Amino acid sequence: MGHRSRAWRSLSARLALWYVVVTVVSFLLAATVFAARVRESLELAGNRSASGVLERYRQAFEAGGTTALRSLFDCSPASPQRALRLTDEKDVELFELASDDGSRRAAASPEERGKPLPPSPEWRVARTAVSQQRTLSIAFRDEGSDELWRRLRGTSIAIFGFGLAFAILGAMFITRRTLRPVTALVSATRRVVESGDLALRVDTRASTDELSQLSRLFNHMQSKNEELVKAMRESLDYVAHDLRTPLTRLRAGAELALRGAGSAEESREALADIVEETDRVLGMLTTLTDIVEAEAGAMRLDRHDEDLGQIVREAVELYDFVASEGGVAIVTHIDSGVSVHVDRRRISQVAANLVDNAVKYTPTGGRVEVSVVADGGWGVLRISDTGIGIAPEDQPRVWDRLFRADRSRGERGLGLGLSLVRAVVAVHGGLVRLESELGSGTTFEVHLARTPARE
Amino acid sequence: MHVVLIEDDQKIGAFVSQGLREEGHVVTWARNGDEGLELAERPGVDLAVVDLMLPGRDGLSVIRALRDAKNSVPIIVLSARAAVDDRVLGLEAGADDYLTKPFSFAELIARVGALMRRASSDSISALRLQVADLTLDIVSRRVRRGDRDIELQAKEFTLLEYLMRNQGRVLSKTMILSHVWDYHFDPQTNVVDVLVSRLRSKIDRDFPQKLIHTLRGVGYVLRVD
Repeated sequence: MGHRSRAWRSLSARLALWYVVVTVVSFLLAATVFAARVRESLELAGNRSASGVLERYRQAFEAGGTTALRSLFDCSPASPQRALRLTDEKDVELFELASDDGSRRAAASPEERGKPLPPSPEWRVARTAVSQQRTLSIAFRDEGSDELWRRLRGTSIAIFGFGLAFAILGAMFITRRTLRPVTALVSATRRVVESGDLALRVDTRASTDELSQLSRLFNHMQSKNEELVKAMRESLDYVAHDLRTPLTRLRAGAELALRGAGSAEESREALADIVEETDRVLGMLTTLTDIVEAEAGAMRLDRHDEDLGQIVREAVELYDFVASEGGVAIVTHIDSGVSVHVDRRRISQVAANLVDNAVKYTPTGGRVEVSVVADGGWGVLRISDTGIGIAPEDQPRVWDRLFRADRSRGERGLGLGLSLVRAVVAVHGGLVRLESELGSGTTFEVHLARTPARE
Repeated sequence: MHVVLIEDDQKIGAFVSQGLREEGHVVTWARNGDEGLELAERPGVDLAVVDLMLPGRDGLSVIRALRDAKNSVPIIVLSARAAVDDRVLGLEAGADDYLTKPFSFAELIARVGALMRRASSDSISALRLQVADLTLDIVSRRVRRGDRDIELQAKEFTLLEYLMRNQGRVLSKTMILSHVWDYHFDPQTNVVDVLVSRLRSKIDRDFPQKLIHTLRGVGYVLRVD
């Protein structure tokens, strides 16, 4: 599993690196633009002061010739490094004063100079025409802007250094913090993979960002898997335990017939018992498969708009004469046009199961009321009986697989019917409800979303 | 009638072919899809019983190959799975009927019989049915046994007509449920037993010769013993 943590580390390192790179690039970009603007302003200011200085020289020259120029040059040190040049119209030098070679070159005309000045903002150069078609040029080093420039550079480097350190630390902090849910998920997933622990959950934050959503989804997935595995385990337990009884009966019956002690007639009886018992086991398995499929959400539904009343009427019709045989009256109040979007076969099964249940648990002379009504957005199927009722403590458990209150153990049935009802209704997005009083009867309700009536 | 059975399971195959032979059919049994397809394509085959799960070419592919070749031999599908998908797939591929394993043999026989009748277009549209001294008139909806009129409710009438039209043939509970109530799944109830016992009390109780017989675990049959 080491490679996974390395993979994560490299992701974290990559993120941090990118963060730093982006920070540095933006800083350099900002510094470059800033420097260009500063240089521009400095040059503007420097050139302006150079023009002022040159104007003074021009006036001195016009008044006193080169002597005046020299005295002004010597007594007004605008800068320790400076040069003054006088040229004729053919750019031939007539007179020159220079503190050093650099200044001389700065003052020379571009053609004469040949190569460009060293790239720095500090040289200020100005030219002006004077009498007799001559040109007076000056060049000097701008000490003030030079100093400012140096300081700016120093400060920038300092800021850059601190900024870089801050960016690296920040990047590490932010990636660590951002990736914390991911690392938690990675380690949780690894533990689930290694140990199969479905009870494991990761901490979630209250925020709604993508990683929190991922964490919550992970937890949700874990819960769902846990439920599924639990349901499957229960089903398996159920199959293991409760199929033993019918299988034992099957085996005993077959063995008895094989021993050949009885007559041919008895053997036939035993075989018939076996077939019937097999059918019961088969029915149980089919129902159980349906329940598990529905509860796991894997049941495929063939949904169409159906008249709920029609489905229920057919179920009632199926049981009508069974009920009358048992002395139970079925009273119906079925509204037409309650349209629901369902799998007809499955909802028929639900209705049949509930009617069967009601008829089965209602004693002779009792009555079963079946109604279908529209209630707001719901189509409601209500089945009430005047049967034995269900004790309050048993009511939540009637939906459980195989639950059957002791009082009704003598009755036929598999105890899976109500579980199937609930699972199928839930898979349709509906809900089931139960009201009961011991001794006076039970009402089951199924609510299914109505489809809007067609014009 | 010549039936081609395509089934890889030794026991099920032996049992089905023996059963069909006892019913008077000639059975050719193929153990895999390719052999089965070859046998079913031969002329003179009246019906194919095809298992879906087969080694090599599977059952669906056999059915499709037959139908693609415009072969209209009636086909009954056998499948271990009750899933609706399988049923739909089988019927869409061109099968005529479908049975889920484990199936009742009576049902297989009945369905084979029904398909054969359909195939030979021997329509069962008689308007007056008679078995021994029991008569049923479809049009006037009158039922008489001997010289006595018998009053039947609608469901009882439908069931009796169904039994009489299938005289001597065993009808399973599932078949009765789907014929009389149009219920195509078993709601795990005893409604069929209740209806049959009511019908029997009207038809047989007062007569020495019993016509409706129960084959426990298998179904019901109307016949003259």
